[in-house]
Amino acid sequence: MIRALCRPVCCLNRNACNIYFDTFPFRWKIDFVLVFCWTAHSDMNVVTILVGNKSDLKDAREVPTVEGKDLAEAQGLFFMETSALDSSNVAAAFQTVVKEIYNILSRKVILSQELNKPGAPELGNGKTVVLQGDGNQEGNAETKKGCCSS
Amino acid sequence: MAFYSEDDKAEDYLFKIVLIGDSAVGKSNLLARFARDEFYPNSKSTIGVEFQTQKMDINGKEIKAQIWDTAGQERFRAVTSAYYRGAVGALLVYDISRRQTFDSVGRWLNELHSKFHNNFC
Repeated sequence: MIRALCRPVCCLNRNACNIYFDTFPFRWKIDFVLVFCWTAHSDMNVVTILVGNKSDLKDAREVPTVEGKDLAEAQGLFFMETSALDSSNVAAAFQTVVKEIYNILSRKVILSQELNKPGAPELGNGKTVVLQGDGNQEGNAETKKGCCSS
Repeated sequence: MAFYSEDDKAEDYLFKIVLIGDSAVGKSNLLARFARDEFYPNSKSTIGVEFQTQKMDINGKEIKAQIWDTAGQERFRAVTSAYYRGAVGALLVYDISRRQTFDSVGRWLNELHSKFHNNFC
């Protein structure tokens, strides 16, 4: 989990990730990574919906609804059958995706607000994040196998 | 994409969403129906990339969805990295009247995941 979330941090500054994990308590570690992921435009899973289109072609159907549904469930996707011809579910399919993205974003904003409370480490609105390691930690970080070396 | 910041409480959201799936499953027509309420029964293969921005209301917030559409055809598939970059949502489309387009879903999912991992690290 941490390994996956850490990826975008590493992209921007490979050492930052290591120093960070050496320096801050666990809680901050998680929050930091999440917020940073967002500011780096990054590693949230792409919210995906499986769309079975042309549902108006009832006589020509080759893929039963249940198969699409099962596949979506197995892959962790949303699912909907649509018809661009008769408009059914078209708006709903797009709305499902946008709504879920918005919900994920809202949850992450709450986390970032927690970080912006007084006394929290300063995160510069998606710009530079300065991480203070004490003394030789930076040296250690370079020799350590980082979370993004895989 | 817009993000929350202390100074900017206006909260303007722009989400990039991509349409993917085999050729002729109706990606362009889904977008045309959603964005313009149009349908083209004899539409041709998409060439290159098109996108439309559509305003939506989610929980009382105005959100802009920038929806990208490209060709499902293999021979047009050179644009993919740029196409996926920055996307936060995807519609993976198949045609219920053509089983082979459903069978390709796994391949499209792989592409989606691999493109995203390549993008960041």
